[in-house]
Parts: sequence; C-alpha cells; structure tokens
Amino acid sequence: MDVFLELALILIVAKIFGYLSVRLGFPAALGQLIGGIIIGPSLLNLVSYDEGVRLLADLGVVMLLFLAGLETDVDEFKHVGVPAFVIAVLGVLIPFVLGYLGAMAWGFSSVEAMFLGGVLTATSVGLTTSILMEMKKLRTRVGTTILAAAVVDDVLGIIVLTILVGINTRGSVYMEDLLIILGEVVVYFAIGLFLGNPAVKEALKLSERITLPETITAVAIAIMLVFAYLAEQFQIAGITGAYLAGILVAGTEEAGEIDRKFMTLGYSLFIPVFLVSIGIESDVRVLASAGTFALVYSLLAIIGKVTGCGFGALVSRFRPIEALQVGVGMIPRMEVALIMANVALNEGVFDNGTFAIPVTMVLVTTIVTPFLLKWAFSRE
Amino acid sequence: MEILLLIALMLATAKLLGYLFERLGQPVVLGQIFGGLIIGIFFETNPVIGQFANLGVLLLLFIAGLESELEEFKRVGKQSVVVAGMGVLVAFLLGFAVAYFFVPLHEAVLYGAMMTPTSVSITVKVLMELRRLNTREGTTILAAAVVDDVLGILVLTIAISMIRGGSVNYGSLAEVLISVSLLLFFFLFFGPELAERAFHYLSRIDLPEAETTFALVFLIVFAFLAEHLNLASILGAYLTGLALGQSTKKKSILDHMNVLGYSLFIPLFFVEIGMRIELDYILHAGLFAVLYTLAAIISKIIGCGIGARLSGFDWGSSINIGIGMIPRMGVELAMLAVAIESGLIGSDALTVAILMIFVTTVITPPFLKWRYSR
Repeated sequence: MDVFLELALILIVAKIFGYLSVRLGFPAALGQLIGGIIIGPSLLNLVSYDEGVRLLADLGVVMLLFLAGLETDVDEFKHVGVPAFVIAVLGVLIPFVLGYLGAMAWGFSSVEAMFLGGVLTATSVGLTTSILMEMKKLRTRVGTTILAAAVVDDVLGIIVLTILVGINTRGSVYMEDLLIILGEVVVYFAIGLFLGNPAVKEALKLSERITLPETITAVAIAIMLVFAYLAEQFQIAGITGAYLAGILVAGTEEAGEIDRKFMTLGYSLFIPVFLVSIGIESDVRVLASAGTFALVYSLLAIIGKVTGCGFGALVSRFRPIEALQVGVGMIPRMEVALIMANVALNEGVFDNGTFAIPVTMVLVTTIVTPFLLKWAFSRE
Repeated sequence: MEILLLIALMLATAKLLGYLFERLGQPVVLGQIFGGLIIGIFFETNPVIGQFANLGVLLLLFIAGLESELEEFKRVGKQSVVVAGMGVLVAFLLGFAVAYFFVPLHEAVLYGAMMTPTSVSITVKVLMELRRLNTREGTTILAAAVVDDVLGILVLTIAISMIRGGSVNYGSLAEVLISVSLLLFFFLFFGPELAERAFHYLSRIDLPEAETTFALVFLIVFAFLAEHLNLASILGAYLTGLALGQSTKKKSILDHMNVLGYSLFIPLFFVEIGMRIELDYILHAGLFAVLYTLAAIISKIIGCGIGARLSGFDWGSSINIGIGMIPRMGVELAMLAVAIESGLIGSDALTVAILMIFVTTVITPPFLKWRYSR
C-alpha cells in the first residue's frame, strides 16, 4: 500500500508542477523534472523509488516512444532517412572527438578518454519526445528527423561501445564482434519489418473480433512490450523497439483508436511517472562535488550534439533554425550513457571519481534540454 | 526486462482465453484464471506484477462503485433492499456454517463473507435473451444487485477487519461497524459534493488527462485511508468510486478508468490469481469445496426467494429472482486476494472460490431458461 501512496505523491507532483511550468511558459516536462528532483533524494527524500514505480516509469518512456511512432508520418519518415543518417553519424563523431580530446587535454589516460568520448555519443530521446509532443512539433520534419536520427544513433552507440570494450580487453578492434553486433541489428529490423508487420496486422485484426472490453488496447500494449523486449535481446534500446512497433501499428486500421487509448493510458499514469522519475533519479548533489572537468565535459556534451547534428542537418539542407532545433533535440543523454559509463566502471576503466563525470553530464544535459528546446522553437 | 515479455504474455492470454470462455458460455474471469494457471506452470509471478495486480483490484472496485446507480436505489427502494439483504444474510450464515466444520473459526467468517456478493451480468444476459429483463422480476434483480454489491463489500470488509491478527475479535466488531458507518455516511452525503468541488478546482490544471490522474490519486489516498482505519483498502476504493459516480464527472472518469483498468491492470490481476494457484490444491479441495458451492447456490435461492416473497412476489417469481441472484464473479475474488495478501487465509481458499464461481455461473443460465420455459 505504501508503494501506491508514493505513486499518488508522484502523480500529484507531476500534475501540479507540470501545470505551474506551463503557466510560466515552459514545457510541463520541465516542471515534472524539477518536481522529481524536489521529492527525490537530492532534497526532500520522500520517495524510495521502489521497483514497482520504476517499472511504471520504464513503461512510461516505452509508451511515449510507441506513441511517437504511432504519430509518425510514415511518408515523411521514409524521406528523412538519409538526412537522419548523416545527422546521427556526425552527432556521434563530433561529441566523441570532443570528449576524447577534452579528456586527453585534462590528463586522463587514453583508454579513459576513449570511454569518456564514447559516453557522449548516445542520445536518449525520451525527454525530447515528450516535449516535442507537448509543443505539437513531433509531427514535423524536424520531429520526425530527430526520432529517425535517434534510431540510427542507438545503433551507432552499440557499435561504439563494442569497439571500446574490444580495445580495452584485447587491445584492438575485433571485426567479428562488430559483425555480430551489426548482424543482430540487421536481424532485429528484418524480423521487425518483414515478420512483425504482418504479425501486427493479424494480431490487431484478431483483437477486433474479441468482444471483451479494451481488447485492442491490451493487444497493442502486448505488441509494444514484445518489440521492446526483443530489441533489448538484440542489444538495441527498448524504446527504439517501441518506436518501431508504433510505426508499424500506425499503418493499421486500428491506429486511431489505439492512439486515443494510449494517450489516456500514457498521460494519466505512465508518462507523468516517467518524467518525474527522471528528476528523482537526478541527484543534484553531485553538482556540488563535481570537479571543473565534469562541467567542461557537460558543456562539450551539449556543444558536441548541437554542432554535430546541426552541421549534419545543414548539410542535408535544413534551414539553420531547423538545424539548431535538431541539434538541441539530440542533446539529452540518459540511460544509454549511464549504461556505457557502468560498463567502463565494471571493466575497471573508470574509478568512482571518473564515473561521477558522466553522471554530472547526464544531469546537466537533462536539465538544460527543456530550456534550450523552448528557446530553439520560439525563435521561428 | 523479462518482465515486459511476461506482461505481454499475460495480457494476450487474458484476452484470448477470456474470449474463448465467454464463447463457451463461461465467465470471462474464469478463462483468465485458467490462462494464469497454464502460464504459472512455466513462469513464476513476481512482486512487481503483484503490485500491478493489486492496483487492478483497486481499479476493479473503483469501477464497480463508479458504475453503481444509486438513483436506482431510491426508485425501486424497499423491495430490492429486502431481496438483497436476505440474500446476503442467508449466504453469510450458510457459508459460515459449512466452513465451520472444515476450517478455523476466523477463516470460516471469511468464507461466509466471501459467499455474499452476487454478480448478475450473466443473469442479465439470459433475461435479455428471454425478453424478461423489463419485467418486475428483471428490474428487481437489477436493483437488488446494486444493493447486494454494497452489502457484500461491507460484509467482507467487516469480516476482514474482525479477523485481523488471525482470530475472531468480537471486541473490534463495534469499532469496525462504527468506522464503516462513518465512512459510508461521509462518502454518501459529502462525497459527491466534495468531489464536484475538487474537480471543479482541479479542472484549472489543463494538462492532458489531469482529471483521470486525480481520480487515480483520490482512489489511492482513500484506499490507503481505509486501510489505516483498519478496514480494507478495497472499501476505500469502492466508496471513492461510488462518490465520484454521483458527480457530473462520472461518465468521463468511467470511460478513462475503463481503459486503464481493462487494457492492463484488471486482466493482469485475474491472470496473476491463476498463476498463484498450485495445482495440488485443486485435488485437495474435495468435499469442502463441493459443499461450499452447494451452499452458495441454495443460500441465494432461499435468501433472495424469501426476501422476494416478503415483498409481495408470488412463490414462482420469488424463486426466479432467487435463481437470478445465484452467480458470483469478480468482486469476491478481489476481496479474497486482499485477504490472502494480508495473510488472513491460505491461497487454497482460491480453489474453493473458483469452484464456486465456476459452478454458480454455469448452472444459472440453464436453470433460468428451464424456469421460464415452463
């Protein structure tokens, strides 16, 4: 029962802080983030952030990306393929180089510097998605491009990690490791598109015939979960899988109803919990003890994505303002960056002091993104 | 992240087997429990899914409260109150009497209480088919079902509160009765008005689904409160639903809560019940389960029948009404889950309850058809 009380608190905070934030002219997500920080361990320490609430939050971000997929204009998505690829590649390359050079200049060993560079590559698009959705900018060329680039970024991130781990453990890049990873990615998307597409259609058609209440929604939830689960089995982020599932469902006759029901499901419970939980997990106390380099590194994280992705967008003939928006949208680093930092910690590359650097960076990029996004989109 | 796959599997199973059972004329809930039984052979349930299932219980009771037409109460009035009241009374006594010979005293109280709530959706379907729903018998059954819901939940709450700590505590009965009456009074007289004001005030928060979120928050807070008053959380959930159901927000809250409940949490609850049943319990249930089920059938025919006769129906109609009130379904399972959760009763009680649900829902349609074909 105490878990539920904690959930009630999180929900109240989500709606009240979200509301205040909107009244002050900011995205609701920003208020929810701040509300989470306030009730989290950094300040009031009111929540234990138990496993059940954590699962709600995880499902929240999965649902968010599923919804994003549902609302994706599939024709547009096909058109932004090449730009998204260019944007993602530059958005991985430039942050990596900046992070690596910065760390080397600061006196870290070259392996440490490589991992610090690697951590900067992986964008987590959940926060951006929620803000774009709120601003009704998701269904634009910029929105679609950001999501498509995030998919590519996800795959590139795994490749970077594989290379780094290979170099660290065996001193060089092993081609077969890379081929295995690439093979897995290809297999996942091949299964997803060629088997998944008809399977999704059939499952939803079947669910139409089942007259129990909310069957279509339940089946859509199951589809989303299976795609997310399988993605993780193939080393891809669960949210990327959910996004793919959303795109496939968008092409079915049931898409409209599912979209409506998922909005209810998502915004009444799961998505607010996700956004507040980002705040709960952001321990701002690390800022107090963060060294100068952690702040420099955070700055490099922001500059790296904005210039890298922005340049990629300019090359792909986006207008400068759009290029800026794409770059800003790609700033947030979250779970994937932390996973990479954890790998470095477990491999013995990072000590606890070094580990705090990416943690600080995650916190900073998370907090600045809502402000920067609002600013970038209000300049039109 | 195995848990994602498990949830997906549970959902798909719930809908498929629920549907299959419905097509076979069986209760949907039973199909979902059966599905859980099969999944339970391969996978174990885990605490987080248990928490989701508990939220499902609260949503189930909340929706039941929300759907109650309290207005109906006032319209049909005395007759259905007598029918439902007698049915609940006789069911409790008979259930208790049967259980008394097989289980410890405090469990017997719970078994008695578990027998009380009726679930008339099957009856409604049959009467519709027979074009008898709009008769006096039909409307009496419908109204009695509403009363029965409230009474059943009260009886169960009282039973659960009385036996907290593993023995029957007569001393706490007075205390429980007082807090239940106070709570009931508070919710019925001030609830709707307060809900109206709260939602009016909260409607300024124009974020998407804010209304649904706050309904959820109220549900949780009052469930917690009821639990803290040493009553059951489900009573708080039910009464919150009842109060909000009298406000102008009823329809939109109900629509959205149905999505939240039936697309995820409620099916998970029923499947999870199935996963918790151990197969050898079923073999051991034996004589007790059979007698208990018989008592469930007889008690409603006699109890509601006498109630109907007392309110002026002839014997034939009275028996029809009694038969219409036989089926049991979801609510008592929700209560039972709560009781098991708090360690008041072993999970073997599930087996008994499930047999009762199965038999009572299966025999009612042919029984009714036979009565009306004469």
